Amino acid sequence: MASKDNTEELNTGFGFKSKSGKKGYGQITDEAVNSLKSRIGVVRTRNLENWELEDLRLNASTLRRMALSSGDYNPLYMDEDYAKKSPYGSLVAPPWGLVGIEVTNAARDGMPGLHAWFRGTTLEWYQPVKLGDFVYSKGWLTKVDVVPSQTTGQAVIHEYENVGFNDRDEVIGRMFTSWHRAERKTSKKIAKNQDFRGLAEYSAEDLENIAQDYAHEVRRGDEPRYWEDVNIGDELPPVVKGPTSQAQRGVGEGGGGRFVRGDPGDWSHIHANVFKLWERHPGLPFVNEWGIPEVPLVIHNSNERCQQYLGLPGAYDAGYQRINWSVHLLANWGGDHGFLSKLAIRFPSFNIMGDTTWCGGQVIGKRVEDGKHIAEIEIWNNNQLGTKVTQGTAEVILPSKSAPGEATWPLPANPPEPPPTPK
Amino acid sequence: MDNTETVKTEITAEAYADLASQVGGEPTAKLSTYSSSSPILRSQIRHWGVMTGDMRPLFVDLDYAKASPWKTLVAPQGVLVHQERFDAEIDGLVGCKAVMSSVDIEWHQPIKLGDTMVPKTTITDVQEKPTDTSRAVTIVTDTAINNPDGKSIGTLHSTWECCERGSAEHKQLFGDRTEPHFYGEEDIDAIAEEYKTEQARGTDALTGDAVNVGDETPHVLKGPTTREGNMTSGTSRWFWGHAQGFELLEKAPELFFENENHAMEPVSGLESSHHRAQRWGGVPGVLELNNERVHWLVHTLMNWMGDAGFITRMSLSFPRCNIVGDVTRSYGKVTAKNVDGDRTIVDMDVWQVNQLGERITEGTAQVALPTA
Repeated sequence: MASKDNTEELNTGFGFKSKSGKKGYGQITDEAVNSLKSRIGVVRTRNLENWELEDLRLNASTLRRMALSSGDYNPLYMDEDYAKKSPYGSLVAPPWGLVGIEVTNAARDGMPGLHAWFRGTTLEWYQPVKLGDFVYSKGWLTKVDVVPSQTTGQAVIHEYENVGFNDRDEVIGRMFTSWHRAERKTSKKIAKNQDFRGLAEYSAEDLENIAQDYAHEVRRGDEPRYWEDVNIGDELPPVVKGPTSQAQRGVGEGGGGRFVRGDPGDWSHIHANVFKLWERHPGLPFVNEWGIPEVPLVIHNSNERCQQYLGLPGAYDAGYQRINWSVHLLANWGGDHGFLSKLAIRFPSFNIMGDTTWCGGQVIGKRVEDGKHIAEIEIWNNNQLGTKVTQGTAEVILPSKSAPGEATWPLPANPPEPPPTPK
Repeated sequence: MDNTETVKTEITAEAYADLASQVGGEPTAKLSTYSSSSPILRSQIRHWGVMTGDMRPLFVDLDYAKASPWKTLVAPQGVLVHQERFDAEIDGLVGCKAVMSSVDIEWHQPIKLGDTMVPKTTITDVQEKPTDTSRAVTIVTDTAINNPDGKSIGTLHSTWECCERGSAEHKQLFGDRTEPHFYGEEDIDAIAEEYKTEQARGTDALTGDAVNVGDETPHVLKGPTTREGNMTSGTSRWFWGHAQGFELLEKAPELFFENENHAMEPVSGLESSHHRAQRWGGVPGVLELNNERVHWLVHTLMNWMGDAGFITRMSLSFPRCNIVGDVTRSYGKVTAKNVDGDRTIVDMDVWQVNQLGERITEGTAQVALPTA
């Protein structure tokens, strides 16, 4: 009989005790790696039907929710009158919305039962996504490498390329992602490799200081930042985010709410549908403290579970929010006339629930290429301990005094061909 | 330093007086923001189907639905329960714990693809309830849901019981339960098998002449519920973080508690997991939202009636709360039928029982069926 007294027995952690799934489930085996490799270059889409794409046309309400979810209340995303007077001529989506073109990722592609960590991504933007547009995408696996790991013996790196299109079939951008896979039993070793620390703690003075940093946020807005006025070494006005919390994260990671299709991988299965999922993948669920199978995603949302099962100080973010926050930094600096064209970002350390993140940047180069005036920027995110949890580079196309009215976008973009599928 | 003190919120006399002064009018949306009404999309109907665990083709298959009596996709009728333009916890008595204790719903027409629901909520009653140690309040609202031309789609009459978080009244919501329910693998296996036995009518609609007083509906199973299921519904109005969180903290400090980081977090965060509810809420776990039960009864009646049936009324009271992780079985029984030309009006008792055998919902429903 299930009861509190045999919690230990009930709480198997991952997968059902008596149904561990296929042989090799949750392990790095030659068979699993080769199976994944066979998908390299195979183009995948979300199989959205035309009516679904029509339903996904961005309306003002959706754009507003996106802005709210990231804490970037830029009027370009929320104020229709303001946006009409901007170079875009209408409301636009926050650039971080480009992550929505990701067709699949390592958390749900191949080698079921292995833990997946987001290592980083490179985003390229060619034109803005505007009010009334819809976006669809294609993606493919580009690389699968088994690599030695000091902490886990071996790990698997898989990488993806995604291409996004608007409703006029124009390429709007690309997203390259890199993922680290490891057996879940080794996750604690990965955690130990991080600097040991506890949950963030704040005094009233700390919180007041953070509030002051929020109050001093600088948004360039409709005043053009001309390329000629930018100097190497210039620092970007910082943007602060957090302390993150369960309440904030609920919307922050959801990107502002969305329709769910109930397809495998979107973690939205409940009631009868979720039991169909468990039947298909008995090793998938996290069997919780009360013996109930849940989607494994729930572990990383909980301090208690991350402490118990992963050896982490607390719940951690997947990385996507740090993209949003870094974009906020760059959009604040570039202003309405600047166009963020590239962001390459890595996540060298965990961002733990309750952390505060200061996003910073510095101009490290300038160039003119194909008539575009580009500022090259180093970006980083530091937490309250001074740990660099994100690092990367970005490029922002700025207006030039030589052609002050010229738009900074679109950029030429050919749909890239996926690599050939290996035999 | 580990802070484990139970979080207590307060319903102040001023907040109560402010709310009471709104009786007879539309509530002031202090902190909520609501999207403007827009035509219902096909993906929205599908989303509702996913989130209520009822993926019948009438909700998701347009070609199928076109051949139905409704000639198009229709929304699960339970969505009317979410049309109330009032949130007791963030607009009425900021920071309180509010539980829907009863609801009466009337449906005047099906909710179809492309329809626009325009809701208008009025606070009809606010009463302070006598308690020994804290303030508790009952709020009653009426919501009229019309289409943009003013034609009625339906009405909603809701009663909310509000208490101070961390109070004895809050703990009483859990009855004599001290923890979430535990399941063994054999329990989960049995639930999985039970799901496979669900029977749903579709085009083979039930007709009035085939119905007899005393007939019972096949039951519908839901659960064990999870927090993830709740969180992915995408209907949250707790939409603050970062700079806006700090602004809100100044505006409504009563909405916040001091979390494990000694940072301030909206009290909805107390309900993000059983661990947190136990640590700070002083309660056994996170409660389910009672209004979800409307969907589960709609599912039950739709399974029984088939596509041509239409629910016209439902009156429910929720004498017991469920804890997230519970299982609910929904039932119905015919109590009367009246032939009205080509329609037969059927009155029913409906109820819901959790895995402990507790009747968590009592009520009645009325449905309209084709007579033959």
